[in-house]
Amino acid sequence: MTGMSFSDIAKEFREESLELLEAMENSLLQIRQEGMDDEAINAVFRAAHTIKGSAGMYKLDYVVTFTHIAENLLDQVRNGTVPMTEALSELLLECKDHMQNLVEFAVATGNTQPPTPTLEEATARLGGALKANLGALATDHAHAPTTAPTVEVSIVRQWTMRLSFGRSVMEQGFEPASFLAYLRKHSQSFKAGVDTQYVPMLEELRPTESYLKFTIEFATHLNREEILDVFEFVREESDIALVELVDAPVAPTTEVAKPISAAQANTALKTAPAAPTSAPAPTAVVAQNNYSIRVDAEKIDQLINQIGEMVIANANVVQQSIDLQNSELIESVSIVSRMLEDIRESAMQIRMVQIGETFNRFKRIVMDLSKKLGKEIELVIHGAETELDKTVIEKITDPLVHIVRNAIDHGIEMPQNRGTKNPKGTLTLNAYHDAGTVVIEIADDGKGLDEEVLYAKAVEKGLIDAGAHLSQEEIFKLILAPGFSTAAAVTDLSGRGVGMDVVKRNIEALRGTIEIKSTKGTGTTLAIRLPLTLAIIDGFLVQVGETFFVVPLDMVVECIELSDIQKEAMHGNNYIDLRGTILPLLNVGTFFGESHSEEARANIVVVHYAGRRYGFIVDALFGEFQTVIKPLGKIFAQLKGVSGATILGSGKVALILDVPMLVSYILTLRNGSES
Amino acid sequence: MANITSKNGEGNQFLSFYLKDEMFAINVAYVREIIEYTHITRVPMMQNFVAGVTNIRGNVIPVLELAGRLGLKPSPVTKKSCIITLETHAEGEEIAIGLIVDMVDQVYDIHESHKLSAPEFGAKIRKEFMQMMTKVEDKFMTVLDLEGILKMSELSKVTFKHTL
Repeated sequence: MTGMSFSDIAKEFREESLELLEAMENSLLQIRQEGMDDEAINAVFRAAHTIKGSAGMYKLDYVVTFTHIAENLLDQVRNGTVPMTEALSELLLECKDHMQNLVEFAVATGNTQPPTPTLEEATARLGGALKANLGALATDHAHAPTTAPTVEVSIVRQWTMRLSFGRSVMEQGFEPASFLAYLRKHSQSFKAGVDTQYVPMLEELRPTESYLKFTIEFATHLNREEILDVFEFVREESDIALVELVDAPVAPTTEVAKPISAAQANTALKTAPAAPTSAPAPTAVVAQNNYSIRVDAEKIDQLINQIGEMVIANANVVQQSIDLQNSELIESVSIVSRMLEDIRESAMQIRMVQIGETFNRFKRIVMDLSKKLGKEIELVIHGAETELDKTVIEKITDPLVHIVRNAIDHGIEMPQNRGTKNPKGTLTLNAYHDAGTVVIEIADDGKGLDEEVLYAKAVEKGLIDAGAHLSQEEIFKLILAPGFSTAAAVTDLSGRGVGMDVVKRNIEALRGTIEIKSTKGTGTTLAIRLPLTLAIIDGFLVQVGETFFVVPLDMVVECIELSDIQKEAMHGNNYIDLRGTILPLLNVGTFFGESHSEEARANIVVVHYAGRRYGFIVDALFGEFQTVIKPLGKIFAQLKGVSGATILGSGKVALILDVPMLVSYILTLRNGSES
Repeated sequence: MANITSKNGEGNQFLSFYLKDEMFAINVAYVREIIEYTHITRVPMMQNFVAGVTNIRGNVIPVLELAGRLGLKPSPVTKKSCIITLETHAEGEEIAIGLIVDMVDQVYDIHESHKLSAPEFGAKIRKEFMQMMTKVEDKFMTVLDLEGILKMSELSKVTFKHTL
């Protein structure tokens, strides 16, 4: 491990560190909200500790130095020497940000450059602040914690442990005694014996090495995993034999302490190597049901791609079995198809992640922003367990940040302006599944949208003509238009150049939609509706000339035959009368320059988009088609009207129509920019 | 003109092929495979030499009509027509692309001494499409410059026909 250069593992180091820092932030925020909590502060400590450990391994000295100071303070907070205060948690959050900056800097430079003066300055400033909080060096572990201890009933077991630390344990920056002290803190009885026979003669003794072996008899409510977890960071080098004394009295007792969190046990499972096998385990290791592994996303993509290919190949087999009219074959093939469908479903599930983690990030954003603006805002999160495709989550985060900033900045009023409402505003993030899509709602109980103001503003900006009749929904949607901002002044929070129109575009790029509901005076809700995955869509297959096209099925309303009478009635116009309403039409073949006779085009696919209906004239209709989306190469980047490709059962490539783009083209025609 | 081989990768092996009866070659370092001419789905609104996209083992690959791209007249598809698929980097991104040629010939080892610089003028095709010239069996063969041929800004142009 030590022979490895930093650049080899920079990416992993960064990922791991960012994950730990996120956990750190979440725990700190939890402490702020719910008060001091052993589990949470332990998590913070461990995060700092692990970062220090891995930074040390790759000689990121400036990361180690700073993290070390933070760790010292956290240790004192954890054993109650230093009380956790609001100010302290804020300082720690700032330190977390600084650690992140240091890590990012180390990764970006490949640890080849010393930190910039700005970073050095922050290290000095925050380090000084941390040190100022540092209490007298705590050695008294019996010191009573300042928080009210929780009373829990748990089972105390007797254990015997033979422990020898690795020789280099101290060189790695660990204090062996602290492990024992921690274990003693969680034990009802604790008797440690020291075996000094391995200590060499003075001339051979190296003061930085550890030679002692310990035999410890103790009684604790901790289970085997939890005990071993205490030694998590030194376990690789240490020799630990742990035996439970089974004939010891096993009685439930009421005692003062809290077991180490399951989350920590998980971390141990993920990072720790297999437990030492030196002693037979009398108690079964508790199986962790949320055991997880880290897999390169590319591998999953590849698997999903391959399964996609199988689905395509299988469609071919199905077709041939039908052609052969062999009922047994058809039956067998259909079983395979079903199983394939299940496999695909499972593979897609791998990509699915809960949105909770993303939501949690907003705790910090809401806290920081509301403080800065002098507003009081409570963040309520619902549906954190809702799952959606990781790529979708990644791409939706920035738009969400923007919407949340907007809600805090422009939506929720200052406490004194909230009238009869609770002076503390509420921002709600909610996610749920609805009919094959995911809906993410961002709701605030602020001042709501003012239709008149929006309308006037849009007229002023020349987005609409004065006197134009717009529905309430259309007026609300004006906030998504480019160049529209209702804020009198652009603050440094919103209006950083990423307008709501960019948010809208990003969401549409994910094939999502935004709905806006608002009541003046009581609040605004933005509902973002997204597909569960980006890899597959249900499509409707049509043919125009020689080319097959897929129209996303969720946009298709109906298909109608274009009768000769209707053609007559068109008089060269591009609309027909559909049950009393005007249906604007786009002749897909002509639009794409397909050389084909006009006469054949006799079918209309009616699509709805943005609340209106449009018709696409095509040659032939083939019905529903499960479409595995393939990207079109870079050379088609400027092509409008086609958003991707897919492979048909026959092996031919079909193109996926970009309905929003085509519709906007129809609209330019309607507005008379083209004759 | 000191080091014409430094352009378009290393190696002295070149795959030769025909467009009509004229011989051209490309560096084999870029060639992924040669497949028989297969169904190509036309992509609308692209320039004429963009033949469309095809399915190569589950991947959708763009295909160019090489003759058209070079400004020559494309010949009709025959049994000998092939698609040479290339794997290369264009503007920092890895791309796979197919080229339609009339017939694939063979791989030649071309030694330094046989490499001639492309003519300053007088060639049918644009200078930036030519890497160098060489002579095989007493005939001139043009080694094509893929960087010039696969220039994204030129390939990705759309011809938007506002006819309805």
